[in-house]
Amino acid sequence: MFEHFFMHMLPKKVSENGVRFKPTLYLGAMLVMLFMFLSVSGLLLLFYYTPERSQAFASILFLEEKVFLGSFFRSFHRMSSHIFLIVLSAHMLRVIFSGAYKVRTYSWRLGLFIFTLIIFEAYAGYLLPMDQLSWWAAKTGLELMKSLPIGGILESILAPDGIGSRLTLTRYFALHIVVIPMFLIVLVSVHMFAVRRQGLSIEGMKVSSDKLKSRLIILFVVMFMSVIILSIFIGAPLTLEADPTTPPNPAKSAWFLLWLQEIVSWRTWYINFVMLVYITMFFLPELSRRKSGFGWFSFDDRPVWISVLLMVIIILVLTIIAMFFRGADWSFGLYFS
Amino acid sequence: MAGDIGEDEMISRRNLLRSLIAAPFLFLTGKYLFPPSEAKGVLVEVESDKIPEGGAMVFHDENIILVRADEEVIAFSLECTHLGCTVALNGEEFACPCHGSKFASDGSVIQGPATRSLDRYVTKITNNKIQVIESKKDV
Ligand code: HEM
Ligand code: FES
Repeated sequence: MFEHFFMHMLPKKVSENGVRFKPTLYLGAMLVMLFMFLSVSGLLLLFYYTPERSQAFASILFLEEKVFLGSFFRSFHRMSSHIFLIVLSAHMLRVIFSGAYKVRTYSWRLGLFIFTLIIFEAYAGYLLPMDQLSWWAAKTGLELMKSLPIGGILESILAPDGIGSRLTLTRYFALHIVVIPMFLIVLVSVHMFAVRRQGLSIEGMKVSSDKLKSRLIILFVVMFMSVIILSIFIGAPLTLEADPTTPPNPAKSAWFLLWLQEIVSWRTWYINFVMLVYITMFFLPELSRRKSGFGWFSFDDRPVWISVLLMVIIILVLTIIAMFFRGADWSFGLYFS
Repeated sequence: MAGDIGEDEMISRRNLLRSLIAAPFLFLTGKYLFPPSEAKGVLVEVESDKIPEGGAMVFHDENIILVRADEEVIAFSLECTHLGCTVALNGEEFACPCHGSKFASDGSVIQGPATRSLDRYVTKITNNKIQVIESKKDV
C-alpha cells in the first residue's frame, strides 16, 4: 500500500517536458524531497528538545554531546533547511525566467504564500536552541519585522513577552513544529494538485512516467547522500547559552535575513521598498506584457527578468556585505571569521 | 422573489453570510492570542548614594541604566530607539551592535540609523531611595 501511495504521487502518463531536465531543472521535485528530509529529521529532534527557556539550551547541549548521532541529526536538519531555502529561491527564479508565472498565475500566487510561510518557518526555528547566536538572530529578526507597517501587531502575537521569554519561546516552538508545517502541508498539497491538474506550463506529448520515476529515484539518492555528507563535514553551530544582557558585537540575524539587516542599517524606512517589491510580486503576471508562453528569458519579457536578475544581484551583494564586511558596532571593514 | 436572483448573486450573498458568521469567531480567537499584560509599577529601586557622581549603574534584567550627572539621576532605557536591540555603555557613549547607532551620554543620537534619543523613565526620589517607574518620560 505504502509503495503504491508514493508511486502514485506521479500519474501514469506525464508530459515529456516533465521528464526532461531543462524545463523544470527538477527543482520542485528537489523541494518535495527536502521537505521530507526536514520533516523526518525535525521529528527526531523532537524526541530530545525541551521548549522551556531554562531547559532549551541544555537539551540541545545534551543532544549534541551525549546522544548517539545527536549532533548529526541536528546538523542534518539545519543543512536541509539551508539547502531548502536556496533551492526554493532557485525554483521561484526558474518559474520567473521560464515565464511559467504568467501562464500558471494560480500556482504563482499560491507559491508566494508558501514562500512567505517558509521564511517564517525558518526564522521561528532559529530561536529554538536558545544560544547566543539564535537569541540575537531572533531578536534582530523580530526588530526587522517591527519596522514593517503591521509589524507591531505581529510582534505582540509572536513575542508578547519578548524574545526568549516563556510565552515567546512556546509560541515560536508551536509555530515551527505544528502551526506553520500544518499550513505548509495543506498548501503544498494544493500546489502539487494544481501542477498535476493544469499540467506544466509547457505543452508536450504525454509519455509514460517510468523514466521520470527512475530519474527521481536517482535524484533522491544523490540529494540524500549530499546532505548527509555536508552535515557530517559542516556541523551545526552551538555558541554559549543565550544572554539577553550581552549582545554579541556585531549582532547578526539569520543569514537569509542579513540583506534586510544591511538595508535597515542605512534607514529604517527603506524596508518599505522591499515590501513594495514583495507586493509587486503578487501582481507580476498582470504587470508583465509577455505574449509568449513557456520559454527561458524570452525577448518580450525582458523588463521582468532583467529587473528580477538585478534584484537577485543586489540581494547577493548586500548579503555578502553584511556577512563579511560588518564588524563591531556594524562598522564597515574586512571581517572574515 | 427568490427566483429572481441570479446564481452569481446567490453565491456572493452566501459568501457575505459566511463572512458575517466567521467574523465574531475570528475576532474572539484573535483576542485570545493577546495575553494580559502585567503592570509592574516600580521597575527598579536603589539607594541614591550607591550611584557616584559621574557614575552609572546597570540593571540588566530590566534593561535600564541609572546615570548621575550634575546631581541629577537619569534612568535611560537601554533599548535602542532604532529597532530595539540592547545598547552598551562604551566609555562616554552608548553603542548598538545591531546596526551601529551611537548615543551620547545624555541619550542624544550621535550616529544613525536611530533618529530618536534614548528613552528616559520617570524617577521618584523618596528618603534617599530612587525608584524607576514603569512609564516613559516625554523629552
Ligand atoms: C515547498 C515548496 C514547494 C514545492 C515542494 C514545490 C514543488 C513544485 C513542483 C514539484 C512543481 C512541478 C515541477 C517543477 O517545476 O519543478 C512545481 C511547479 C511550480 N511551482 Fe512550485 N513548489 C514549491 C514552492 C513554490 C513557490 C514558492 C512558488 C512561487 C512563488 C512556486 C511556483 C510554482 C509554479 C508557478 C509552478 C508551475 C511551473 C510550470 O507549470 O511550468 N512553487 N512546484
Ligand atoms: S537596533 Fe540599534 S541600531 Fe538598529
